[in-house]
Amino acid sequence: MTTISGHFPRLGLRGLRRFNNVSGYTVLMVLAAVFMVPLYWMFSTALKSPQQTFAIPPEWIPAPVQWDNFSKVFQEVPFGRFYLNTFFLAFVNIVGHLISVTLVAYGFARLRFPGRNILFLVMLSTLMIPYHVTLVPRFIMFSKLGMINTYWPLTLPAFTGSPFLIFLVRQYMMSIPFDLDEAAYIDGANRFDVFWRIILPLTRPALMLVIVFTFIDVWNDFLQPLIYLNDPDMFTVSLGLSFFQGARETNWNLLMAGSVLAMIPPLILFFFAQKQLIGGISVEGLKG
Amino acid sequence: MNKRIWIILVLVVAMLAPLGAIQAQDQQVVTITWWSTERGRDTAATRDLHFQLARAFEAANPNIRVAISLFPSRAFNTRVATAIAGNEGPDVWTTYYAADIATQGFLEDLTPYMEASGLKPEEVWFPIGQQRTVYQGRYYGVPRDASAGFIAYNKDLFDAAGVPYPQPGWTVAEYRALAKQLTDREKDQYGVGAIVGGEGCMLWSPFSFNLGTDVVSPDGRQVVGYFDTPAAAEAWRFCLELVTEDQVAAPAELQDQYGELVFLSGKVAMQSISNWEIPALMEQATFEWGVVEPPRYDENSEGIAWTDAYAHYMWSGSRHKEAAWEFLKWLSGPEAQRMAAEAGVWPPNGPQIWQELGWDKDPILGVAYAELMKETRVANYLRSQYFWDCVYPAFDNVRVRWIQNGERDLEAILAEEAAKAQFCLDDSYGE
Amino acid sequence: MTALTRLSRSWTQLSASERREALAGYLFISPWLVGFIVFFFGPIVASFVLSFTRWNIVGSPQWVGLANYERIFTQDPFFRKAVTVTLKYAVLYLPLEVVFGILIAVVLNQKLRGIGVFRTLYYMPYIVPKVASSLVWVWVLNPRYGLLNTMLGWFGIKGPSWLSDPAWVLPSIVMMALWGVGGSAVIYLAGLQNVPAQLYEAAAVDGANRLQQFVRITLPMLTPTIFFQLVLGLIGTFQTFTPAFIAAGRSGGPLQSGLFYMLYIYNRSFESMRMGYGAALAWIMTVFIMILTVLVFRSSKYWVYYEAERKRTP
Repeated sequence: MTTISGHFPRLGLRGLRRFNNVSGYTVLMVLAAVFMVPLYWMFSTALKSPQQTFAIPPEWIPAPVQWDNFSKVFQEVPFGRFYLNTFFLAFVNIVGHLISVTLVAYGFARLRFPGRNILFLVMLSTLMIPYHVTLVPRFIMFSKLGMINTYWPLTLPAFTGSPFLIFLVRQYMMSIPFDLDEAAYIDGANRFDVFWRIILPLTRPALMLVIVFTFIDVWNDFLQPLIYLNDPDMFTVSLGLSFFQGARETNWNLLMAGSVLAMIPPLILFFFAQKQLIGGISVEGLKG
Repeated sequence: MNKRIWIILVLVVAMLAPLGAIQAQDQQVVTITWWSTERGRDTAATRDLHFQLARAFEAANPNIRVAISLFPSRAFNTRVATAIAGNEGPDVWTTYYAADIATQGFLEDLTPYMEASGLKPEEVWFPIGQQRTVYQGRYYGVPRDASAGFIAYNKDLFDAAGVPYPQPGWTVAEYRALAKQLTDREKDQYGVGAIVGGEGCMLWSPFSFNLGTDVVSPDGRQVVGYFDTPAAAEAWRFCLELVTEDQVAAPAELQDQYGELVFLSGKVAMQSISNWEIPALMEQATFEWGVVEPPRYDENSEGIAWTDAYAHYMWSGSRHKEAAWEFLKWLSGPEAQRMAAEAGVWPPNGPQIWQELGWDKDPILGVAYAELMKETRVANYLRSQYFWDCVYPAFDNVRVRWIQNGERDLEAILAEEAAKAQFCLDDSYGE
Repeated sequence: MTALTRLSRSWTQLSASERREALAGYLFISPWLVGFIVFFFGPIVASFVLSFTRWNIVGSPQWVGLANYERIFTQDPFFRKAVTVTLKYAVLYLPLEVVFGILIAVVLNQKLRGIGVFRTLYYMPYIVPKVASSLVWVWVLNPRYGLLNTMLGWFGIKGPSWLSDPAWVLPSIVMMALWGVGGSAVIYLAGLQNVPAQLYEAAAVDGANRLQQFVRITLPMLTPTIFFQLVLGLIGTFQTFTPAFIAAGRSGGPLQSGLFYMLYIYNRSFESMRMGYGAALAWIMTVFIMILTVLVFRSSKYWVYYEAERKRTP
């Protein structure tokens, strides 16, 4: 606050703060409205009948409210199935990442071996190369293995880690004092014990991030399910929703209801993991 | 330490194992897979029909089982192709594209099977069924159904304007004149349906045929020299000027609300429709309406029908070709055709069932029947998946450039878009 | 430095315990190593080889030499379109993302009660699945019934037909992407909060006003974050797929004005089944991105400010 006082000499500190607060909140509110209006539009359309949807001027608050649009979505498309599928994929991917990411991060963070730094750089550089260059050969590989229309292509890679998450967890592990390891080794622990009993418990906040990021990635992924999945019973929410768009020409109300349903799980997760998530993203920002 | 990691890895693999599809092979009973789309007016009825057909077939052929997978129509062909690439293709699948992908080697040539079982297409199927799945003289599929395109008109609007209804044998010039007469923009009333998207002028096929042109070569591989000819330009101009010169086409926004069948809004005097839209009109139209054959080029020319058929295909890599053929034969045969017609899902592929049901005498369906019996061509959009990938965008581009961008050098537009589409076709066909 | 030299020593020079540690290290990182080879390095090499073939994956690949590349560079009209569209989008979107991201971060950096709620609200659109958010925007941008044109109508403005007007497709997709700018704002916010308060205090003593402080202190201190965001954004731009697929449609919308490069790769590879051609397209994109990234890195010494004396703790 001291920095600003020179700027508005006549208002005095308290008046200045109040002025600042009022203008600050106004800007905040206006921006919030800009961000929220499309979401509101989605919710309100989701609760409209077809006639209300196409009313001019638009009904801002639908009257009557069509709650059964949501149940209609479940009747029109196997949305429940999509939910289960996506949760299942998210679960397997999370398990995969938790295992692989922690192991690899531990290796990079706490063990010394020739070529470690070079390998770590190689790993980071893979972040810089668009993974889409691998899309076609990967698809061919999975198709030759008969894995098209299975969940293998969408789960197997998770068990080999993700460079970004490995980086994240490795940075976290680096911040844990080495004295802890030394003490454990003196007590006769082996490396896996140190990893399992000492480092892993202390890494818990970072693991939270692994879970959240993995869930959101799986939930959002569109291109890979689009390429690999054929059977509608195996579709994910994002993929199912996109087909819903193709199948129904003008049912915007149901399409919006489907969109609302699609965004609920990540939003819930976001509310619970807000602190870690925004904190974690900040970590991401720091590496530059 | 190493041991523990191995234990974890083993556990992980064990956990993943149930994910893979486990395929049990039954020795006595052959199971064939059938992939189809749910596309239809009524998704539930379409879905049910698939299962009814499969069960009826199984009842007649106890040693064959049919495993059905129904997909959304969007990207269906890609799904089939990727499955085939992974050697997991369906034994039988049902879609709209034509047999010109036969060269890629994954369509089974059905001609020998047809000869062996004495199936004579010209005796049982409408002309479209005899042309639709033929590539270089060989049959690669059997028709699932048969439908025709024609013009629906709103009798109430005609009556209110004191204009007589269109009659068989009418011409494109009369069509245009009627459209002008029946347009009243003050009253939000339009002569013809909206011309939007790639469909806008593409579903103009009945007109383009009758205007003496086609946009693609008969084998579907050549657009340059078809899309951009003077005859094509004339047909194009006819379609585009309905929007820009005559201003008789419904606005695009009307489609946002009513979907492709803007005719149902009651604000459109005439719209090009097909069999597929008839049930919706029967159920939902709040006005009197009729149908008439598509207009001819002039009084002296014969009308060319615009007909359409989906088809069932067999994968050349199928492990149960005989069973798959039994199923295909049955699906295109009278029993299955009758079931589909009675369920109101697909119009039958040959005259026999139409006559059985008295549809040939029906004031509405009779028009479709007459079209189906006429000389016809395979409509351009049916030719292949590549038509959608390559030529469909060209249709939209011409429309956008003319209507939205206001460009008026039609010949130049057509030449440019044809060249692009040709590049895409050449590349897709691997030439 | 001693740690570094020790690590770079060759295997034979390691003691027995160092060897055991090294072995354990390799074992621990083996999941990534396997993944790197199977899912990354292998496919990249395969993709390179594939790009010299013609293959619809049903038959066997046919060696065509440089034909794919030749076609792409000399004949393919869609390649040119896709590159133009993607570059235009990058030029439109990236600067806006930086500007809006920083502005919002500045707004969020105020010490006000309840600021966390706003941070959440701004961040929320970023969480909405891309398919859902694209669908929402398609509906918001509906020319007649959409929210945006309705609101423009209040001010007597007749809005364009957005996604069906070739001139407005890209601006529409930029707008859709900017809706999720909360994601980068949070990163800039972290950057802002890392600026030492003493710097501002010293500037205030010197009589610098807020704008001067922002330009002289905040921006330079943020340049590493901007740099990082720019590099990631560049790569992200070239990978834009879902919004284009949903909003512009598979073939790229009117006059293919939304034919993003990735969408084109998808069309060629997975719709037309031209695997070799798709691989060549992907390789061209990769090389192009690498060149751009190197250029951005090279340029960084002229505009990215690094604290020269920053000490790294091992």
